[in-house]
Amino acid sequence: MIKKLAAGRVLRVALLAALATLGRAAPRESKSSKPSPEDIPPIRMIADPYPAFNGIAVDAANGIVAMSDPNRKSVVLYDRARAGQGGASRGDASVPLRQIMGPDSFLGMIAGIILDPRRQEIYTANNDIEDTVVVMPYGASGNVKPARVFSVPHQAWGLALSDVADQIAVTVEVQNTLVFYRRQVKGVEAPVRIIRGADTGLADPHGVYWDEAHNEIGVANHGNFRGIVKNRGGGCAPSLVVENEAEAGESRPPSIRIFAATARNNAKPLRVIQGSRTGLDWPMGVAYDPQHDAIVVANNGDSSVLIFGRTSGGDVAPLRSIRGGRTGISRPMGVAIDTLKGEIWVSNWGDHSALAFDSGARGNVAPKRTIRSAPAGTPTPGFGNPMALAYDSKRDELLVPN
Amino acid sequence: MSVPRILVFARLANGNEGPVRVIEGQGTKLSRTMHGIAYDSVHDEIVVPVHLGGAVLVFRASATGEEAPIRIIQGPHTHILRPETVNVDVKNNEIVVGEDVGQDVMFFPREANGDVAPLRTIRGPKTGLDEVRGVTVDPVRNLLVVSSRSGKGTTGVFIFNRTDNGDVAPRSVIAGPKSGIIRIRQVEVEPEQGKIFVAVKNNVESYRFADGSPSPWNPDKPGFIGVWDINDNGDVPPRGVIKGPASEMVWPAGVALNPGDREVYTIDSVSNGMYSYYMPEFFPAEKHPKRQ
Amino acid sequence: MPERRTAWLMSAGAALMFIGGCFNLFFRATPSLFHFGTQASVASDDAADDDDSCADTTELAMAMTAWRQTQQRGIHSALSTEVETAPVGGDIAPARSVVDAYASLHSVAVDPDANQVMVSDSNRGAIFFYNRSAGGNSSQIANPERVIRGPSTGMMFVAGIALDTTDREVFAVNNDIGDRMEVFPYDVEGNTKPKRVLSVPHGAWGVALNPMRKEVAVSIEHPNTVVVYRREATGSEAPLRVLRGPETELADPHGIVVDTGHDEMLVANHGNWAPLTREEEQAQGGLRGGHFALPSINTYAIDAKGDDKPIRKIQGAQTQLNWPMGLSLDATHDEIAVANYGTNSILAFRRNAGGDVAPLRVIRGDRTGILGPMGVAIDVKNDELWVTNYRDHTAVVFARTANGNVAPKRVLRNAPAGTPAVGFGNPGAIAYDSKRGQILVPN
Repeated sequence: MIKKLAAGRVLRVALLAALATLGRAAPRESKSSKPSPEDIPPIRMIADPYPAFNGIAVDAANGIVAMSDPNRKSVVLYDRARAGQGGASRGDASVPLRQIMGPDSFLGMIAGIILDPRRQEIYTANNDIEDTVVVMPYGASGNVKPARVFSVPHQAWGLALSDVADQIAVTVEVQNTLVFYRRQVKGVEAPVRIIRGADTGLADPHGVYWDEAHNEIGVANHGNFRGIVKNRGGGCAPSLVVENEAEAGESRPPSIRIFAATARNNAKPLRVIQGSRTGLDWPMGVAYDPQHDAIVVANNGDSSVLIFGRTSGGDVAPLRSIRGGRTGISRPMGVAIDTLKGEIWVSNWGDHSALAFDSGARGNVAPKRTIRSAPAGTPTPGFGNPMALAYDSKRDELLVPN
Repeated sequence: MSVPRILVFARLANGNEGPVRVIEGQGTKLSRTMHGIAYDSVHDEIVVPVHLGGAVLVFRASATGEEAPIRIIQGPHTHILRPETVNVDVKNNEIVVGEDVGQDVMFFPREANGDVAPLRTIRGPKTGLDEVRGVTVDPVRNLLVVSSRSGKGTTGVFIFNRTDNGDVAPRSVIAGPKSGIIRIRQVEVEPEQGKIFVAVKNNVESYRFADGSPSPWNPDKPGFIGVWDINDNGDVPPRGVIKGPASEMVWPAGVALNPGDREVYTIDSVSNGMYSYYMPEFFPAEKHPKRQ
Repeated sequence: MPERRTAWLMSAGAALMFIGGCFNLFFRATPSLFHFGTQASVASDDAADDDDSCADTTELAMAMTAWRQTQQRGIHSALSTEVETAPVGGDIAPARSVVDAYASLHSVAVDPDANQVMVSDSNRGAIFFYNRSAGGNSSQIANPERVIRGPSTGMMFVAGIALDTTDREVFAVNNDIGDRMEVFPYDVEGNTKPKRVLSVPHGAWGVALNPMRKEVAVSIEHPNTVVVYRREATGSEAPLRVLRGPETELADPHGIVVDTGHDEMLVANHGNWAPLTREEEQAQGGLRGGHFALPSINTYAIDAKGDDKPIRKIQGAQTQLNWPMGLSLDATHDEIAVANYGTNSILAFRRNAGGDVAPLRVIRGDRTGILGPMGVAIDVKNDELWVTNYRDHTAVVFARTANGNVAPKRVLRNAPAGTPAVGFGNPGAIAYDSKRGQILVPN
């Protein structure tokens, strides 16, 4: 009796389970003309789940090194001395002190980063999506609003700060310009001055340093020159007739151009490091090393760091370089000088790592410490605001420009 | 999916990375539908419910491969039908078990082994509990936090006194449109601050064959991790959320906390993905000194 | 709420200050007055283009151009001194994520006449069609000939698949999201609606066709049930019969095959058993509590229903059964193959074996490439045996009679060699092991 009852119940349970789905699976032909297909999961995907380092800045007095991460859109702060020790020295990812990330932070496709040790502030430049420089306090962590945000022209890349001038300098790639704001700038403000024009020779400027001791500013140029355009009233167009500035685009040799720190408008550089002997190849970040009176260049194109004498000019070879398999340098983006501890920091775009060298290092030397944002050997897709894609049917390969 | 197993990942795992070890095989007595898991840091044990075996299993926390559980709670005296979720109350030395079809929460001695009767049971119409999806205890405030999903009744977070027994009404219920809770899963309590972390799954599965291009789920109601205060009551919005397309969550079903590293972990059943969030705003430094 | 009002006033104040700032800039830039006027109109003209189409020369214009772009993105909220009322957190990207970027290889079926191998993908909800000879010894991904996937297919956590090689149809069941069986013709691909959809109980795993009786049998993990439907069943059609009850000794059933030659049905059981509802238990005479039985392969009469007993069982220590998953029947040689997940092996038994018997053959060992086998399919025509690995992105092909620690004839990969298989399958819980710094995820 009990058994019979149970059997009836069993069937009912199974039927109820089936009936529970009645509403959602009754197959009737539909007249709907909604576009199809729609929500399709990718069959394969490439995305870097780790922070990728672009810019780097160090503050030895406060014991931190900071990197801009345009991949996960964050600023990552590490302990300058300890982050490269322990597991990191064995290839594990380093543990950051703090990470600033999230929609409130306004961190996006960030490039250059600098630290203001006096006021304990972090500046980082949103390159070509957000067109702002974000200022964060040192203690910021997680999804926090910036202390300040200021508007900069499209494609800002490098940053440099001067306490003496109380100004901040911003390089703007596409406009071949160095733009200066007052240090406390907030929101939208007109620059206090710009360096721009045919005589400046600026062409796709990237890294910038401010050498207060010698009252100079140095700018790394890739050499891509798009022509200076003028507004003719109906919008912007190449200035073929208006005034006498350069028009057509051209590819120039890469260069480091050193200006008087007070230069403005169409100023000529004081010195130019340019030519085949310089070895410059997509120079990215630049920094001034007062201890060696030298200009340090992240030479992305050949995965090296080049060191030039400060007063060098013309087609000169670097005084020394750090380069080779043992250095761990891979497509470097940023350099920073730790004047207190006598170190050069290098951020790699071609690897999830940042390296600390003795500031006198030369040749194929191993770094003193390595900070990793991913375990050693993790592949680096290297996407940076990619917006185009092509398929090579012959090689069965996908082509992605950044 | 259809493979019962406990996967163990390094905390810093990222990308297409495999587990560092797996507990699996006949000897483990694991089955599908383990909708809860708890790590007991004091006794270094793992506790899981085995839905299809009507059992709660306790493993050494370092268990690997086809390792047998060290204790099993199973049998008619346990009153367990099919356990949906579990947690461990280390302070009071109890294992808490929640059941979906059983519509109840049961407390067992932490060291219970075999066919052991529960110490207390919360079950009955006054409880408001239906399909219990998550259980956790706040040992500081002596409260029991239960997530329950119901087709007819209330879907939300139910808070009881820890020592309640029988058919008792909850002290408070967090539910309603402002709460954003449509479907609910695992819950955890952060006792330092008295915060409840909830995996709000939402995103109801709705395949309608007749639709021109049917979607398997309703994407208008994305799942999220919600944070409430343990004293919240009624239809109150979360005090903290992780939610939106950048979060990559579709159906967050589980939530785990690591206050020392200021991290929140979620597991997503639709995207088969595990996501780690760095959330300093959820774990203030004064309450949680940085782990060194 | 006075606090909110204060916040509003403060934002309004900030907005006024901003407008004031703009006027200030405007007048500071009087030499460029004309420029400014035109620039403003330019800004609105091409505001939709967020790329670098316009480069402006004046200092003010440079600032304004940039501002126009930031305004579009609502940056003003970052500059306002608005009092926080929204919940903390927000749309935060994960600091880390663990997701398998590749399909999983769940169940496998072979149609030698069509020269096709079909594999279900429980990770992304898809069916992959490969040429039967795909793979080989390459370390690279084998190209599928076709893939069925997308929202219209209704496939979610798809587990078992079965083929009707005569009518050229693929049957797939969703395990524990979806609760459906979908039927597709062989030749479709992409985001295709199934030819038929049938609601099945929650926790369906295996599916088997009976072309003679025009039936389809589905094994259901959760209620320890086998449900048999008309082959053409759709919608919420009721089953023809249900096999369920204590006498059936069904316990967490997985793989299922139908033997039309002997009018039998074989079901692989993990051995987990628990009561379903309190009411049902009371009707049975009281709560029995859950128990763990030994894993088994149970054989039933083809028309078994209700609480019918199995005709025979393969069960016991000699059998080596350990989480038996997929089953395959070789009617020609009167054998069955079992994907024995727990010991990374394939067990072959005589079809009519019963009791505590040792397998006829065991493919097992480090040379086999078998890792977490989920599906198995015997191809009598080509004298081969297919195995899908859940713990690796591979399917491995052996000679039908392979035995011992032998290397596969071919390996079909859906990810480059060495790619870890993450192994998530509809995971529903998570815990953090603070001692080891590890994260625990049960499926």
